[in-house]
Amino acid sequence: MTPTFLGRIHTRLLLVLVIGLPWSLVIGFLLRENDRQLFGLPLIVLGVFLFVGIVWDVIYIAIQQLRWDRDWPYAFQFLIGITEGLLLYWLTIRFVFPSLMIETAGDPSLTLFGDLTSNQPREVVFLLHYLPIFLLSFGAVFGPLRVFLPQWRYKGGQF
Amino acid sequence: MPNESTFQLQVLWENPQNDDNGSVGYDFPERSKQKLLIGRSSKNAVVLNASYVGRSHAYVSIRHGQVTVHDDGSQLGVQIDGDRIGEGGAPIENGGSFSIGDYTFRLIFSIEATPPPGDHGQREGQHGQGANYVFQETELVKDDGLSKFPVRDRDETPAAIVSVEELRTKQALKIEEIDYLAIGGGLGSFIWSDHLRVFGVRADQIRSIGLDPVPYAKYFRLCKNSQIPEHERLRSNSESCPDNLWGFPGYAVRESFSALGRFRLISAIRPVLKVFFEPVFETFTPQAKDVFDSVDRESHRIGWNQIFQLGRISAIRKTDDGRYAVFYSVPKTATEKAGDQCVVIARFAHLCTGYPGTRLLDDLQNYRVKTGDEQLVVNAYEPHDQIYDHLAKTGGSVLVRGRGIVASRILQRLKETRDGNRDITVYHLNRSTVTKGNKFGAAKRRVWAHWEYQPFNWPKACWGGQLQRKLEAANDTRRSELISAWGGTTTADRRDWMRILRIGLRDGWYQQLFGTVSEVRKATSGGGVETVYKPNNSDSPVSLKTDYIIDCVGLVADLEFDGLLSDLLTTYELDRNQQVRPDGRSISRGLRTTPTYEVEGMANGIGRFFAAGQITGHGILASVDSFLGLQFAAMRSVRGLRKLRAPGIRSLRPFRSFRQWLRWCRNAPPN
Repeated sequence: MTPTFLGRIHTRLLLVLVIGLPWSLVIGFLLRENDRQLFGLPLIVLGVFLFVGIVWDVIYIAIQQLRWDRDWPYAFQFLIGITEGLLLYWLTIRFVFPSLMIETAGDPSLTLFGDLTSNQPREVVFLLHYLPIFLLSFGAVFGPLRVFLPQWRYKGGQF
Repeated sequence: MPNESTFQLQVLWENPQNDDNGSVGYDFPERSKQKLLIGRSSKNAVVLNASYVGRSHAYVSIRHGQVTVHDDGSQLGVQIDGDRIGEGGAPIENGGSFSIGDYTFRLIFSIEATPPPGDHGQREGQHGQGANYVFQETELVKDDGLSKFPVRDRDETPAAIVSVEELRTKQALKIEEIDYLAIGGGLGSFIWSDHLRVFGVRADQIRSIGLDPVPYAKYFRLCKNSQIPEHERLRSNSESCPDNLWGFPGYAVRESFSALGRFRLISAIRPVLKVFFEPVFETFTPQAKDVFDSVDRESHRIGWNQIFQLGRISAIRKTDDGRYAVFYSVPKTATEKAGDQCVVIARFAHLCTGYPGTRLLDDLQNYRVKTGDEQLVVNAYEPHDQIYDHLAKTGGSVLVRGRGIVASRILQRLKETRDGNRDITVYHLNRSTVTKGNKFGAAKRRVWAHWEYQPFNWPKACWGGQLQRKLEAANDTRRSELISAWGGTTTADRRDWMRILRIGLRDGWYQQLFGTVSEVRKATSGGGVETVYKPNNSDSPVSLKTDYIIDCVGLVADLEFDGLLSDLLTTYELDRNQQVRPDGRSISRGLRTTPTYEVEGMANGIGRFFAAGQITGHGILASVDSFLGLQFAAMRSVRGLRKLRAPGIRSLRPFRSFRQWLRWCRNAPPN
C-alpha cells in the first residue's frame, strides 16, 4: 500500500459508507437499553470514528514520510486498527455514553437481541460493533477493493 | 551431428464451441520423420475432445523444409480456407492455419541453429526457449566499432505520410486494417491488449506484431542469461500481476492456495505472512515460473494467439486518412530475407519495444572491438553459461563490474558454482565506494558492504503513491532531481543473499576493489584477461588478471540504438523527456508522452499513438520497465481511449469491473 493523504481520507470515507454504515444500522436495530431503542449510538460512534480518523491520518502520513518507500505495510494497518479501536472505545465510554445518558458504571444495561439474552457488557457490544467493521475494512484493502475500483491503487487510494 | 538445425513448431488451437483451447511446442530435428499427431485418442500429441474428431484424425510433418498438414483418413477431413485438403497433404506457411470442424489451428515455427541437447520431441508450454534463428536480436556490439545501430536498410523508405490508396494498388503487399495495433508483441503489448479486452474490445479488433508469439519470451531470455532460472524469484511485488489488471489475487495468495491444495500448511501460510509483514521482515516476491504460467493462461483467455502476428517491423508511418501504417515482413524460411511484405493499418497504435539491446562498459567495449572476443568478456545479459561450466570444472577467477540486481544474481550464481569447486575467486571492481545511501526528505536508503538496498528497483510509492504524484507534477529539472534521488543501482535486501556476501568477504573468495579502469586487454600469458586500473587509494596503476569478466552494468536505454525508434524520432521530430544534469546539461531520454501515455507528435487527425515501457523513460512514471509500470501506462492509455470514444471500449465501473474479475477467476474470455 502506498497511500497519499487524500487517498487515506477517500478510502476511509468509502469504507465507512460501504462497510461501517450498514453494520452500524444492523447493530443499532438490535441495540436496546432498558427498553429504549438505541438506534443512534452506533451511528454516533461511527461518526466519532470518522472524525478522529482524519486526525489519525495526519499522524500516519507524518510517519510515512520517515519511510524511504513511502509505503504503509499491512502490518502497520492492522496494528493501527487495534490502536484506533482502543482510543475509540475510550472516547465512547468517556463522552458518547454520558451524552446519551447511558450508564457507564455498574451492571451493564445494554442488550442486544432484546429479551432473548441477558444484558451484555459494554465491551462486548463495542467489540461486536467495531471488530467486524475493522476486519472487513482491512480485508477489503488487502485485495477486494481493487476488484471494484481498479484505479484505486494507481492513485494512492483516491478515486 | 554438427550443425544440424532443429525445426521448432508451436501449435495453437482453439474451439469457441466447447472452449477447448491449447498449445503445444514440438521440435523436429532436420532429417526427422517424426509426425505431430492430432486426434481424439490420448496417444496423440494434440488431443481434441469432440466426437466428430477421429481417433487419428490428422498429422503435421516437415518435408523438404516445408511444413505440411495431412488428413489421416478421417471422415470429416481437414479444411484450409473452407476447402478440404487432398490426399497428399497441404503446405502450411508460418503463422498459417487450418481447421478441423470447429477447431481452428495455427502453426508458428522457427529454426534453431543448434539443437538443444537430447531434447527431441514434445515440449509443452515452452516459454519461448531458444534463440529464434530467423529473427535474431539486434546486437549493438558491431565489429566496425560503431556504437550506434544504423537505420535498417530498405529499398524504399516510406514517406512521412503514406497514402492508403497507393498501398492498396501495390500487388505484392498484403494489407490488413484493424482498430487497435500493439507494436512490439512483448509484455507491454500484451498488457495493453489485456486491458483493451477487459474494457470490452474484441480479440478480432486487436493486432499485435512482434518477433515471438510468447509475450514474455524476451524477458525470459534476459532472465535466463542474467542467471534467474525459472524457480528463482523475481524482484517484483506480489500485487504486480501482468495477467490480472486488478492485482488481486496477488502471487502470494495464489502460492498460498496452491500449497493448501497440496495440504502443505506451513508453505501455505508463509507467502501471506510475508506480504502481511513486508517489508519489515522480508518482502514477498513471486517465482519466475508462476509469473510466466499466469501470462500463458491469460494469453489463452484473451485470445492472444488470434491477436498476435509474427513479423519483423521495418517502419511505422502516419497515413493520409488519420491512421497509422506499420510495415513488416514475415519470412517463410531461415534463409529468405525478404518474405511476405505486409502492412497493417490502424487508427489507434501502441508502441512498446523495450530495451534496444545490451551494451558493455566503454573499456570493455574497446576490448571487444579490438580482439573480437565474446567468450572471456561478456555482458551479464548475454548467454554465458559456458563461464560457469568452465569454472565448475577447472576453477578460476572472475571479475565482476557494476553493482545492482544483476551483479547480485551473478554473485549468487558464482557462489553456487563455488559450492561445487572451491577454487573460484570473485573480484568486484567499481569506481567508488558506497558508504552513504541516497537521501530524500526524512528518509535514507540502507547501505551495507558497499551495496545499496531497496526492495524493488524504485521506492514503492513510485508506482502510484506520493512519489508518483510528485514526479508527475514536476518540471524537467525537478523531475531529474527526483529520479536521481530515488534511482541509482540498488539490490534487494534478501537475507539469504546478504549471507553469501558476508561469508564471501569473511573467507576472502569475494574481494571488493575500487578504482578507475584505464584498459582491458588479453593476458600476455596463461589465457584470461588483464584489467589495468588505478585504485582509489593509490597513484600507481594495478594490473588484475582474471579468467573472465562479467559486465553487470545493464541494458542500454538510449532510443538511438533502436533503428525503428530512431527512424520514428527523426521522421516526426518527436519530443523527448529531458534529463537535466546538475551542471545544467540536458540529455534526451524517453519519448515524451501526455498523462494518458499518448505521443503528441504522432497524433494524426483522429488517430492516436501511444507508447509505454522503457522507451518512455524519465517521464511521469519512474518505474516504467516493470510489470505494474506497464499496467499503469495501459490503464491510463485505455482510459484516454475511452474519453475519445474509441470503438469497443466500455467503462470499467465497479460492478462491471467485478463481473470482469469473476470472468478472470473462471478463466472465461472477457467477452
